[in-house]
Amino acid sequence: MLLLGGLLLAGCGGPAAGSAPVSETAEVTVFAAASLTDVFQEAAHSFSSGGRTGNVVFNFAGSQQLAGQLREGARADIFASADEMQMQAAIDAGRIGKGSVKTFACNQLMIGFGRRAADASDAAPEVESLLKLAQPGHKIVVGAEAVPIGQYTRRFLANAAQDERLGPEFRAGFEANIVSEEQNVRGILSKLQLGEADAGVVYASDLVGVTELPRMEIPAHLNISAIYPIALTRDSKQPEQAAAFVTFLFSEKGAAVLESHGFSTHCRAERPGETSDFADSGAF
Amino acid sequence: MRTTEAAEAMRIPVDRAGGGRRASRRLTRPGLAPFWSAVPMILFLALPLLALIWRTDLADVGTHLAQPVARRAIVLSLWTSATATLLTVLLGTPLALLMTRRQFRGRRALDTLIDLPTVLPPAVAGLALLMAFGRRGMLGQGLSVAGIEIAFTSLAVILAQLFVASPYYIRAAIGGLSRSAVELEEAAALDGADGRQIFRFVTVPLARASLLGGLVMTWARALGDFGATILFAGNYPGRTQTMPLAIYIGFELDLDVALALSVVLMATAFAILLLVKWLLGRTD
Repeated sequence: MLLLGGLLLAGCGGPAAGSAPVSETAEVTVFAAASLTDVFQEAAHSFSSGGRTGNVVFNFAGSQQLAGQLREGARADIFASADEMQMQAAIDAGRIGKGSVKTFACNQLMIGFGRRAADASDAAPEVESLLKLAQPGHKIVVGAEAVPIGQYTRRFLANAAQDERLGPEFRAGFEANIVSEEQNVRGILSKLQLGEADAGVVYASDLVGVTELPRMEIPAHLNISAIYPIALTRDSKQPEQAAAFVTFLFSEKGAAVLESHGFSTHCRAERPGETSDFADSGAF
Repeated sequence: MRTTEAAEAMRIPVDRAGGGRRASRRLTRPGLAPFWSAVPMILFLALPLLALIWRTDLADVGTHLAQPVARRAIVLSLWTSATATLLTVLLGTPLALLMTRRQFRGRRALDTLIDLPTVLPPAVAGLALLMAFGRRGMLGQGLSVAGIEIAFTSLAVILAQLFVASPYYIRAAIGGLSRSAVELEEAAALDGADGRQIFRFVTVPLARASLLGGLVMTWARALGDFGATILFAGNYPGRTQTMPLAIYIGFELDLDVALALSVVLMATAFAILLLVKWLLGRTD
């Protein structure tokens, strides 16, 4: 009887103690940009198989949607956004401490073609191939203005409008061909895979695993660098586990996973200071 | 009696107790229905709707609705749902007549087919429409060769609405038409009325309440569709971005516009249901 009482007491005391050891069933909830779907699932797999306890569960959606959910009080331990604007929205909503934000990866834009378009061959990354997209008759799908991919695409179009060979006419023609503004980058990708759209602006990383779609690189002087910040939420219930997952992403192993999915990690070094408290990120 | 049966056929709850004088006599077991036991459910149904109104700045609803995004969505929603409703009457009435005036093999299967879109997840409906009318779809492929492409157009919005909403009218019409007396139609035929006259002066007036009720339900469902539309028609302001889609985007871009549109849709739905109940109650 006494033993039973002791067990009950122990059972009650466990979770109440602030820095209690992480239990086997501890779950880290990660809100992550849709473009991170594949890479984060693989990262979580190698994170968990590295002898660590607990699970990582994901909520993948457009970053703006995740920021909106955080604003309305959704429970999460980590937020990984596809741009700094939505991370700032989460900071403004009081869910993220400004100091905890770190850039963990970068990405670039790429043109993906629909299944039946462009005679199923990759186009050369030249301005001429881009010009074709502004001719009437093409169906182009992009991200909505609120979505990071939509923001980046508008910046690419602004760059193109400044380019002497493309110019404002290119942007106007391109925009006239837009038939749908999707809620996240995966929506653009699925419209291309279904063959409903001729072309779409996606992240380079999105096309890594999708070998059946022809693609075209955007010339470097027109392209943008998509910044992916990550942070723990202020009210994380599993701060240690969550920090361990972030640390893993900054480790060499984590970087290898990110790079195998088409993300680059060199931008971590370009933003000194931000990653300084992660010992194993020094290599970048 | 006819009213409640018609309502049941349409799955619209009619206030049996309050409506008929005969029915009120059945209310003699108050002990079985203590008021407090119903409170949790009433609160659960009412609270989100009240919260929506509470969070909305009602004085500013007009200004938010005047914004181009909201205005275009309202105009598009109104004309596409009106077209879908008109098509429902033109195409659905013959089907309802077939179901009530003829016995044939496969009638039960057809009856199930009519109900299917109302229980299918709208996303499934959207995907199915893409598989049929999309560029690489069963029918869409041929249409595409002929130069007709439906996906990403307002026509796609109408087709999506027609698919998910027409069953409500057809179901109600079957209910109403099966109860309008065949003997009266036969008597009219004996008196020399032709088919069209019988339909116009006997069949339709007898089933009028059910037909109108079903029509309003179809319109409301068409107005509210989200899943089928965003999958099949995409999202483009003024062309395929209906009110529900604009609310979804607005949640991320401008919550106030989303709230204003939500309140309008909620008020519309409330008015529609009241109208249906009044229409059905009037025939007593």
